[in-house]
Amino acid sequence: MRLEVNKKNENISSIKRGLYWRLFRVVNPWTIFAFLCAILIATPLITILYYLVEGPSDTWHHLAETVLGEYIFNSIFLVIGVSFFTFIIGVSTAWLVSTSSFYGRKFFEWALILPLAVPTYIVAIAYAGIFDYTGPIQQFTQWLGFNLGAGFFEIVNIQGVMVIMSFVLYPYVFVLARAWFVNQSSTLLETGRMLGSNPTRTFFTLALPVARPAIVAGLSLVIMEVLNDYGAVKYFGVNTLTTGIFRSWFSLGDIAAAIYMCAVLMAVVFLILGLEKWQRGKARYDENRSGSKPLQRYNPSRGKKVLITLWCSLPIIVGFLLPVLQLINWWWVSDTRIVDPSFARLVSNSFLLAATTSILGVSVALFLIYSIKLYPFWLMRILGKFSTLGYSIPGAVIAVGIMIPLLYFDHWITNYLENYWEMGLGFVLSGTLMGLVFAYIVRFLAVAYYPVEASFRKTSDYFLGASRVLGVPPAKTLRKIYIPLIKTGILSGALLLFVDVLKELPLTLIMRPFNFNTLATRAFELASDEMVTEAAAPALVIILTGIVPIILLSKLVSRKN
Amino acid sequence: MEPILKIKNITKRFSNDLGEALKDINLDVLKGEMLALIGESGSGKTTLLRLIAGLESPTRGTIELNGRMVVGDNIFIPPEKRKIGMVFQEYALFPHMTVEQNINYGLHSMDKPSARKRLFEVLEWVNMAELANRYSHELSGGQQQRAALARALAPNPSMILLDEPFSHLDGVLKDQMREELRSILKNSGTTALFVTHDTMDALSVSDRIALLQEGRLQQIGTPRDLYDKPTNLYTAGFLGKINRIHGYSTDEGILTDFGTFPLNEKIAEGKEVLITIRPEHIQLGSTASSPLKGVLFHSSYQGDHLLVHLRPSVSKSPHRIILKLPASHPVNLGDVVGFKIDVHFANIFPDD
Repeated sequence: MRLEVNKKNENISSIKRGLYWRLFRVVNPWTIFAFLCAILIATPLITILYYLVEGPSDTWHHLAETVLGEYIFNSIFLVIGVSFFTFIIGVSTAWLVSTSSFYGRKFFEWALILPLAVPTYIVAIAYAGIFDYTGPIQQFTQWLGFNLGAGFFEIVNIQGVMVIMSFVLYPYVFVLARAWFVNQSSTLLETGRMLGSNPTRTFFTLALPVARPAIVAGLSLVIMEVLNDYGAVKYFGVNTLTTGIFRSWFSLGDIAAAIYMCAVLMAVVFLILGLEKWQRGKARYDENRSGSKPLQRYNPSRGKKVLITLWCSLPIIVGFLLPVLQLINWWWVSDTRIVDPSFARLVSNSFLLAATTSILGVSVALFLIYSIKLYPFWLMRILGKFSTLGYSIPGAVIAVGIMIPLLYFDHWITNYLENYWEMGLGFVLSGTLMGLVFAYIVRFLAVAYYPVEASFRKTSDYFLGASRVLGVPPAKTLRKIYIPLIKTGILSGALLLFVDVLKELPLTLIMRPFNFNTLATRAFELASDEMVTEAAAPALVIILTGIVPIILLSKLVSRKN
Repeated sequence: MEPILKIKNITKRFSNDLGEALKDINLDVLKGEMLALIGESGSGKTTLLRLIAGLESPTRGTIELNGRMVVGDNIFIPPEKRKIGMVFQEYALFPHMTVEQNINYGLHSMDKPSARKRLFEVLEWVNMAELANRYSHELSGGQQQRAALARALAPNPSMILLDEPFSHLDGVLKDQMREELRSILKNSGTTALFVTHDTMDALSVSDRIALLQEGRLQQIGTPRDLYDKPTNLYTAGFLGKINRIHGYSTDEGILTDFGTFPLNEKIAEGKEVLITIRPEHIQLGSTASSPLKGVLFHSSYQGDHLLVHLRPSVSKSPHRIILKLPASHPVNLGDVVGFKIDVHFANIFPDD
């Protein structure tokens, strides 16, 4: 038994040695990997910043004086309008589904997410057909004996795009608001009831203020999708910042102008992200850990129940059912009803591409999250946040931001090989599938990252230590302990990533190899070339694939409850 | 006996803004002993445990295990190479593995037959042979703890660390596990260091106790040493209830309102001092024969004894004296009683 007298032995050399030692603990394969991920993902932003400093071109001045105002106005007009409608549809249905009993409530819980399976541009194409002079609505009215004229149901304009986008994108608001309501509503409802408040008053005075952070988070996802969209606005002839990027890149062939257009779009994105962060303040999205009590739902009168059921059916019918029926109809009358080899190749191309991206993306996410878990100091946590930033950058911006350095690299390597080795080589990275997969991962890493991270968070903090103390190094611990425990998270991350890649349009259009088509680009091209019935088959494949995760994930959620 | 673990001048700072979580800790753990690390939450005891395991790295200082430096300048042996067993607070049994698989997990470097032999040996120690094929969610709290203990013991570590081993158990089970843990560790001859915030755990299970306060080691010694001869006021108060009596040291002894206490060699004359005395070292007596008197004003029933509060008539300095009585002792609040202080059990500290 001894209690030594403490002595201060802080001499300079021990501090210095300590620093080297700390450096060694910080720089290791895991942290280097995380750092490389963040650097690669930052490529598009770095490119844009670099070229911004270079200064604008004459084309840009011309664009800025003529069309830029219209582009910005249209983009912001769409953002505001779609936010308004998705707010109304998403929040109302989320509240009704989580707190009220009505006919088919359980069905609506997951069916209201269905429109998420359909890309906006496909719905836009379908509705252009539905309201066309030769479409079903006009035919029906003519059959009834009215001749309303070609322009009566004019939806191919900015208002039309706005409504269509709203009915496709409201599930983002619905899902996040509903999660919040389900977590919070039993306490809120009980408190509200005990204080004698009716459902409407409880909704406006308690639920809405409390759920605000979740609703705004949902709305910001909606806004990102609106700004990302190229297909729907292009098809409807609406000029936005995103179509502006395409115009500068393809039609004008002006890299600097495309970059400046990207920069304006990113300014809008960062403004919105900033607003979201500012309003969120200190509110957090942590899951409610206490076991949620079975909720005593409001039981409205029969008449009200019918009204609620109708209200909840509307978004599913408009956002999913009608466009899908129209596509099935087109598919039925089209020539490619029977699967031919070229269609099979198209499907296998798309699926292979999506599967490759999905496996690579999930692996990157998994290693990234695990290295943050192993070395959880501040820089690593920032790298993790940074790596998921791609989801808020529009696909067209990522494509431009990656294509430029890839082209530059190809140019350099071709020159090098020709000059020194007299070798001719085509594209190495730009316009190759490798470049495309890389761009997909930059854009969609967050999609795989969050499910994996969430399932990591559900495991005990002690497992890593417990395994290491038993003599098992980190890499083997990941394989033996964590991967078996978080496989649901890995699978759902992979599935969501797969579907997102399959649906992706703007980035693919810019970065795909010459003459290479995915289901998405093919459907869009055919529809743009007035071969809309032929576009139905690839569109339907995309939709069917998109439904799979919705059903699987809703099953998973209900099993957990 | 030879120390198996030597901790020298360990300091840990988590960030520059916060103070030291641990400051200049020096501690030896002897072979075969059970050492309890106690302290309030936030005193740094779990941090010290994690430093020993290698799950954290210290800002300064060295740790030697079995004569081998595991932490020092330019040296950091990762946890998987330290050969230390650890039982985590929530046991951290891998949920996708059975008890047997959990134990085998740590036996990966042994050949098959000896691993098999070792598995049965540790299962026998913790009396879990019949439950070897169960998953952790199929086990009770006590069984989970025994499984975690078996898993930690299986690779034959130099010592094992236990983080709050009893905090998830309640009442009867806790008492039973204290006994079991001690006998398992003693029978297997394992050196153990365990962290607890519960003084009863520490007093009843350990061979020695180290008390931490705000990252500093206050005292280390046998349970009896710490309880009866605390070296400072904090230790005295941490291990149990105390009565504090103010006094003044003179050459005849320490003068207090409750009489004169024998001098202590550590205390200089002419100083304000504080005397601590535990409730069980104060006896009630008849009013006539006792020099000290007081009024009973509060009593609380503790099951096996009564804790009685008494307002002494002689003094204004402590407003009350707490003493322990047998549960069956009749107590009438408001009665004047006599009492006697057992001066040999008094501890004297400078009053700052």
